[in-house]
Amino acid sequence: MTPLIDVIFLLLLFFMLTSTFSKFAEVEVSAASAAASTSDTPPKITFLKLAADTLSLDGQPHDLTTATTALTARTTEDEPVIVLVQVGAAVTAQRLTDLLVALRKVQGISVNVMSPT
Amino acid sequence: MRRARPKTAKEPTIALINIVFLMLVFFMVAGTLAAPLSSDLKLIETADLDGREPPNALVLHQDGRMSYAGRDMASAADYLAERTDNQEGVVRLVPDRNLDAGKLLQISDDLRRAGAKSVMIVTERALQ
Repeated sequence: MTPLIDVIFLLLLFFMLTSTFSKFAEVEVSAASAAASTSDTPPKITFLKLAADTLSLDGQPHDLTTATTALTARTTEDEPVIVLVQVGAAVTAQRLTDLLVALRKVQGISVNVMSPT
Repeated sequence: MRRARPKTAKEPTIALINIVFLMLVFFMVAGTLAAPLSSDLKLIETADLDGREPPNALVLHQDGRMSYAGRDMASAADYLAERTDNQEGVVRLVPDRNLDAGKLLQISDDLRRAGAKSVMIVTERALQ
């Protein structure tokens, strides 16, 4: 009986110490690139400037939720909207990811994050 | 309605095993085995994303250091040469949530220039 308990205890310890309970997820960073234009019509470009606690869409101040509604209003059926994201100083990775996750829900836009160089 | 016990009760071995077994099964089913990331790393929290398995990815610390599998990496190209997962072109980054976003974009740019096709940020799903 005792060796059985010993082994089970060892297994229990192993699984308690090695297992993790965090759930991971991932989101793509879409960089600005010279993507080949597929349609003949020039795409609409929207400029989004992200600062540490403000956000402006073509110069209009917004927050994350109003920005997504404003962007949804701008998309049309056949014309893709390109969103150029400029990241200001003192923006954290958390904030950038929040923005990317919010923009992910908007259909019909393609997000390009410009690198700050 | 308590059952009377003999005065010199033996250690209840079967009950002990039962409890330990239950805990064992719980940890086997509920936990995921994963290589530990750095303990000082605070992952980005998100909701509304689909879950995926724990990452085997390039870790970006708050001060901009890069590490992979516990070792510091000097540059993005070093990581691409070193990595062992065979997913062609897809590079996963695990940034600290307080890392400067400019630094993150610069590193993902470096990775693209070194041959990565798409760069993903791995986050921690917040509990709902």
